Amino acid sequence: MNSPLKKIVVVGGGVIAWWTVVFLKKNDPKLDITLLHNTVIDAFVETPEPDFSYLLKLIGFSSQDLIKYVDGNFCCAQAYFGWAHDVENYFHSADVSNLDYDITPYSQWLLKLKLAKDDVKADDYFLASAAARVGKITFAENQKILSAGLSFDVDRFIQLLMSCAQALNVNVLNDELEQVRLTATGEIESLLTASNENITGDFFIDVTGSDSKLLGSGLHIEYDSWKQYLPCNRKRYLKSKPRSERLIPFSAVQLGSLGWVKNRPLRAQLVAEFIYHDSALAFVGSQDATLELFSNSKAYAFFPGARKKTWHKNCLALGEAAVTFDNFSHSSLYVAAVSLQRFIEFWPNSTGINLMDGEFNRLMAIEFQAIRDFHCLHYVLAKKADTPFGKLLKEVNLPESLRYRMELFGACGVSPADESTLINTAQWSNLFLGFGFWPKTYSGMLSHVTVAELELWSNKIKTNIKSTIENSPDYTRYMAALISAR
Amino acid sequence: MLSASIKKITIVGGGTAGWMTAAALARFFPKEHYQIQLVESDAIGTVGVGEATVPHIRHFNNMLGIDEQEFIQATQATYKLGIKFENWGAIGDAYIHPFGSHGYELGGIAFHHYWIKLQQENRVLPFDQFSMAVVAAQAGKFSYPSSDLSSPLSSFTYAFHINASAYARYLRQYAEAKGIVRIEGKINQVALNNEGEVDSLTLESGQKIDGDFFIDCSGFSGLLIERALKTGYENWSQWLLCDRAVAVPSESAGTLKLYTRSIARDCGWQWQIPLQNRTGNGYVYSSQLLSEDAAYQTLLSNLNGAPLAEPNFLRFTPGRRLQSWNKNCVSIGLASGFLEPLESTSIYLIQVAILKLLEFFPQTTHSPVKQNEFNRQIKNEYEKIRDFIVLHYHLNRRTDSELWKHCAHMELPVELERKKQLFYTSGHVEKYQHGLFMEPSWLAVYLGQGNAPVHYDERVDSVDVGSLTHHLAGMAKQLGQYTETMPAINLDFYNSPSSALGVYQKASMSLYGGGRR
Repeated sequence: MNSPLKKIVVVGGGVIAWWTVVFLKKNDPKLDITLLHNTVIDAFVETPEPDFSYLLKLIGFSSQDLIKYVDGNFCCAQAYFGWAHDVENYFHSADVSNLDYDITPYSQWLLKLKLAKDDVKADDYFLASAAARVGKITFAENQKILSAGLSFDVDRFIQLLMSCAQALNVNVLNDELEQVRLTATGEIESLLTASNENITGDFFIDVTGSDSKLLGSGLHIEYDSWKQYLPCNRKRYLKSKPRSERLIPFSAVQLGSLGWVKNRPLRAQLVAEFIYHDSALAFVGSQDATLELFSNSKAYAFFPGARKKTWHKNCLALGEAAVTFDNFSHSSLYVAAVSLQRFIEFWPNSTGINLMDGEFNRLMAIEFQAIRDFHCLHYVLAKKADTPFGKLLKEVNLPESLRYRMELFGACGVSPADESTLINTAQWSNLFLGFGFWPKTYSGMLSHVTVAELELWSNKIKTNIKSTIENSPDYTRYMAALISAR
Repeated sequence: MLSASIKKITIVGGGTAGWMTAAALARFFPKEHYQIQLVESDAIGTVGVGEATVPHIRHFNNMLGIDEQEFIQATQATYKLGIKFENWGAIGDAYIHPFGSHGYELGGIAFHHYWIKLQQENRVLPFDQFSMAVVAAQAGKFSYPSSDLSSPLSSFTYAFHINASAYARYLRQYAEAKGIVRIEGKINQVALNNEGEVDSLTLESGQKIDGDFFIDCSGFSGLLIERALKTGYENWSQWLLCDRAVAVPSESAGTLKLYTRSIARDCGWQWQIPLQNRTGNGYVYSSQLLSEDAAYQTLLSNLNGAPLAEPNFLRFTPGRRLQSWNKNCVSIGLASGFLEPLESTSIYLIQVAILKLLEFFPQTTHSPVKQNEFNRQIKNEYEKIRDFIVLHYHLNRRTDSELWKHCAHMELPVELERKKQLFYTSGHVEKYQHGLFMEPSWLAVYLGQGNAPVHYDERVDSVDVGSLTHHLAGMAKQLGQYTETMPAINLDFYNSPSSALGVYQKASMSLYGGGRR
């Protein structure tokens, strides 16, 4: 490679730091990579998006490896309990199959059907979630798992990546970062450690978490807070044994009176996560069951927001050093892994570095805004009960981009024609409808379609799903077979 | 009148835009709910835009349930795999912009990065020789694309050259059979109501025509959207200098081409569109640089066959209507904006406006949210195409005339400048989701007529040049082999009712086909 980047220094200690060094080295074995390993971040569980399996493959792992070695468990849907007004629960499917009627999208024809029929439910039309509800798993034609995320134990995944990094000859230095030294033109020249080592490099990757010791403190790239849109700022974890021998192929989020709880089942453990605002602590000693349950867990602070740029000069930030959001949907590992892959596409060449970072930052800003809006939409649409958290939710502001999206979807069930992001139109529609936010009108293309025709179409999809599920294996047994297979 | 419900729809103008709109509304809007009428005058000629099309027209026909073979017979259509640009980068240069992609990804890195590297070492064929559509078109061969995504035959799609007036006539029959009422007459007057909306039209005969919602397909004049509603127009002449065209059909000569020809000339460019029974020709030029007569003479001296009719002189201002949808009126076609037919986008722009109108069709006259998004999306479509067309003019090394020298040095639209900078400093094409022309098209033009970029994805450097050269040569050779298996297309081919092609596939809204990226 003629690339000006020969030596890369990664700073951090969590799963994203380990992922980064392995991914870079796998991508180009000739790179000289040093990991300055300092901040040890407690790790619990990650549930990357279905596409993660593609990235995993690039470093030589399969989903099956993660299932076997790091307690991996498929996540075919996310169940929402207690969020919407008139829907008891809603399963957001990981599978976004094409349900267009002729050329009209699902959100439109379903509305026409709903206006005529009372019993229309938004989540009845997705195979993966319908199967998950009954403890089954479905397949695409080629026998691959149909679009499923994967939850796994992060600590154990780090161990796997560490041995990988060792085999790939990544230099690992256990030391504290003392000082970021800059050149006259404002680039990072070297990093000085506590034991007085001076680490030089051509490019630096900041995975130091919300401290952002390189891009933030070192290069003074500011952080935009999203606290007016995403009101939570604390989380606690609780690990427990599974309640039953039966495996659960979906995650669940429950709205509570002081915050919300996300339950992610692995195969051998259940990880619960309580997400709330620190003002909830005023209720310690009250009878709140959730607070009670998590009373002995450590509280971690987090600050929703994004850095104004995530690539500046010769430094890239990943993970919480770049962007932080409460994890309804997107795993921070997944977002970091996608960022890293994109960075490699834009790998700085001899002269293009400034233009390349401009394009990279432009794309990532679009991505981050979409993720922020998608998460904010959960809070905006959530039932605002007369609880401390309900009151907090009433204070949530609406970003202009989300306000426009809601107005448009509310009017006609259409998403704005914006740039493509990790969240596609179908996912937006599913969330809107799942939370009971139905548009007022449907497309003119449905004018000539009768309700009877749509009922036939709807029944056809449901019947297909039903028969597919009947012929699909029980999830628990399927996983047992998968693990015992070579 | 605020928020009156819409029952009666009046379309003004019966050219390509008017009858495409009428046919689509007839297809989707039941007679019981909507009364739809179209006003046109036999005395007013139509421009007959869009003789050359892009593949999306197949989707429109599919949507209406029109059989492709019947369409080909009715419009004297020929198959089209791309556009050949001659003399654009420099005099003597030529490349085809195909309806398909070039090469395929290797090791997760886009094909063109490898091509740029080898091109710098003079070790590779021209970029368009890695497109299945180009290799087939040059050999005069055609087959339907394959649905096997691993085959090079899946890497392209196709459009048609058509007689646009015949298409309009065909759609008129379709629409009238489905209950659209055609009213003959010239419009004398347009009356507005108190809210400033279009209330009614009065014909020369004195007949008054009303409607709840109006669709302006009156062409350049913008009878409702501009003359009555005074919507305003954004003028793009600073980037697109051509403002005149002269068109004339000629006798067919030589073999039927499977592509449109666009030949750059001193003061503009000439089109050649092969139909079954004639060739469509035109010269698009700048009135500041050339007189009407000189333009016509230039066109006449560059025809392949004898002219079949008197010339049709057209004047236009490149640009777009500030709001395609204003009050209770939507403009479609030339009433909504004008971009020269360099990339055959006229019918596409009509089609996309119709699709979005159907999607956002208002239940009541006051629907500001739908109107706003409709206008935003149409603006985006026009601007993206504008930038792509401007790129053709800008990327030239010609010094033989004022037009080309000016275009090579002009200040570009901001978004286009950013795209160009990114490409020339990194080999990356800026990605976007909404718009007609995507990466394969931008690459076709950048690499077909521009200077080759210095930079590419440097991961490519880790591949051995010798084996890469060998691999790419193999890729090009394979396309030649596939071409051998395809039927040759000549006039007899269109005349014989049983086609050797088999059954055509369902169309999609894609310019490139499905696979092999």
